[in-house]
Amino acid sequence: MKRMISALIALLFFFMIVTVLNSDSSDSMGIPRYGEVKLSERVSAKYIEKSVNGNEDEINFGITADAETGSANMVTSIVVNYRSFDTLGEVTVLFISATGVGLILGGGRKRVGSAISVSPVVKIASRVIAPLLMVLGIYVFVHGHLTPGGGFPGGAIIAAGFLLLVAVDDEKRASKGLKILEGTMGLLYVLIGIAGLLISGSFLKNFLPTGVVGELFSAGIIPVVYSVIGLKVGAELSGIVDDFISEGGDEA
Amino acid sequence: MNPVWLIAIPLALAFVSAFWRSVSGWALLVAAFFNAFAGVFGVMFLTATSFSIGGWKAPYGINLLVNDATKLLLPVANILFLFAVLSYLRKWEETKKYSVVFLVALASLNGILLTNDLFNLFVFLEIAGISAYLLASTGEGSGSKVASFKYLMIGSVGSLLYLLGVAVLYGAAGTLNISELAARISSGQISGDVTLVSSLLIVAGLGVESKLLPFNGWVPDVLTKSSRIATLVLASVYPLAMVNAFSKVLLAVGDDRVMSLVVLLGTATVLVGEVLAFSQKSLRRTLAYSSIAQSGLAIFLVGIGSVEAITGSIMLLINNALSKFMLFSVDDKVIDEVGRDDRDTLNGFGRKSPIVGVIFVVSAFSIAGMPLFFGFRGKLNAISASFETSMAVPIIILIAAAIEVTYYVRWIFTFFKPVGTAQTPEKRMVPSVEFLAFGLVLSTVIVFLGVSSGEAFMMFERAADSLVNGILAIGKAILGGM
Repeated sequence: MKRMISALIALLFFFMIVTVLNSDSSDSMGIPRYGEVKLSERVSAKYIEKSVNGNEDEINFGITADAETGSANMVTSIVVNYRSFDTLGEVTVLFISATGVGLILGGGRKRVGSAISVSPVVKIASRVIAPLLMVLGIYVFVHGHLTPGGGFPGGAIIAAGFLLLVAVDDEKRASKGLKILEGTMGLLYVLIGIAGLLISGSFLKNFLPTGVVGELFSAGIIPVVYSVIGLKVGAELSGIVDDFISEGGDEA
Repeated sequence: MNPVWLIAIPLALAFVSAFWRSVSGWALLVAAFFNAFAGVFGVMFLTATSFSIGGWKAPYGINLLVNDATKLLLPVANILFLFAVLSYLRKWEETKKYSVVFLVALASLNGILLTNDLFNLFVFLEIAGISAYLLASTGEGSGSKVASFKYLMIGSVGSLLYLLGVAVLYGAAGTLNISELAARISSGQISGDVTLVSSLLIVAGLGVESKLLPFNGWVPDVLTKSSRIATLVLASVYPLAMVNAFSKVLLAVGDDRVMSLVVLLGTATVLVGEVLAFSQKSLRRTLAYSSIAQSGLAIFLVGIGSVEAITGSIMLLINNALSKFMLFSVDDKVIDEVGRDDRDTLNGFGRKSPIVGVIFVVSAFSIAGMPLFFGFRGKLNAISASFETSMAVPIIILIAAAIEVTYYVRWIFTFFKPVGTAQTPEKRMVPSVEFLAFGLVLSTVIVFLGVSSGEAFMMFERAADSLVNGILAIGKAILGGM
């Protein structure tokens, strides 16, 4: 019976997807066929041309100064400027999930040991690789407004470095400072938003000069926000790793 | 005042209390007080309607919308949240542990009520959902963890379906602004297949949190097994935001065919909820099933979609929030005194503490829809609006209302039975100050709204009008200006 029902639901789902994909016609908008999107009817056109506020000039890499958002990476300009509020929300999703892991698994005092002994070569090698990984993570989020990447992947790479250290060392624990870093970075994001509200009248509005498109010091608050996110996500994911490897005992 | 403060302050305090444990309790109190005052005095007198975030104008950036519906729901939600927090000052040590979760929940509920953007709504639903799973797991014993896990499973699938629905809509229309989408759909620019599929997915997605029939299996366990302050928030403040999200989105982007399905599902939810509530032996479970039924009532009216129906929907929603707050507080009181809340335990309880009894009677009568109470007017509106659809719907609603009256009256009789049992407390009981204060304030509001006439009632109608016509009008202005 259960199988029948799930088969029916799957069939319905398949049917729905097919109808939707076939829905585009000349007189009404459906899902557009590949390569036939009318960009002018969509909000995305103005994100690409950086012309939400009506600026019609062409944007040139390395030349145009003071463009809207100022970010050379279009995706970043949407994620951290046009729709930054969503990103604040996503940061909060991760934050409350990490808090939940902490609350339920409860940061115990003892460390779960691993059953396999790790060879000294691996140990030393990972101590060399881990800092390199962390530098890569920092690069990814600092450069987020210019190249693909940003706060979330950068933070995840940093946490991967921490995971590597934890995997080879049975004594390794996260420092208490991580929790403080996580909280202050979240607070900083909200404060940047409030600063925008107080300085230029709109929450999370850019209040810094946007510079020349394509330069490292450009794009106003975007690099600042991405660094904040990167550090926060890195601290948060490392904190989750730490919660998973702790056991028993009193509240730490 | 910019309404974004209602989201920013609790969120900032949540981040602070994440690492600064000793201030976390204070942070929760400060945020609850700030939001209650700002929700009342800051929002009620606002004249501007749209507040852009990031400084980008409406369809390009995210905007918060303050219309008559938000002006009504924001104060109620924030005040009830404050009341819930203050009710548990005596057990502050337990509450403090979860203050980060409460703070984030507060921020996200305000976000849900304010936002006018489909994806932003998804983000806030997600935050509110995760906080709700955590709140649901706060009870003693493993029962609440199991309930919370079940909720987590259903809830995550639900929010994924909602996201898929939004993706389909965005793929076709190229915008996420609810107003603009409403205008595009009402002018027939979007293909009917797209609106049909996306609204089906959105109904399934939002149906989980707003307790619509096939998606509400999590409700009874979560509402009976989580800790009591969590239940108070989950049963009174959450439905306000979730059902508001449901009506805001579906009134704007819902397909007519799906709206008749919503009427059907909503009516079934009411009937099933009432029948199951009738057959429960413990007060808390009765209230949990009654919550399902009340959500169903508010939702089937969204399916009808006329101004009169939405007026009824908003009235029932607020009535449910106020009354359920009191009913669950009374139930807490009972459990505090006698440890259980079965029918036998409650025999004669009301006689030992008349004020608790009176508060119970007022809120039970209002939920059941007795004349002179607020709920009556909501139900009256609901039934007269449902004649538009078919004769079957009002008849089913009337039958369900009759069942509801029966079981609430039965509980009231139990409460005032002259013969007590072994568990009935011997002496008279004196309820705590905060219980009395909140109970009396909310009872007065319910009775006042039940007997007042004219002007006080126009606000519900204006709120409904702003949901049915207001959002669309803004969208037409956007489309015209593009």
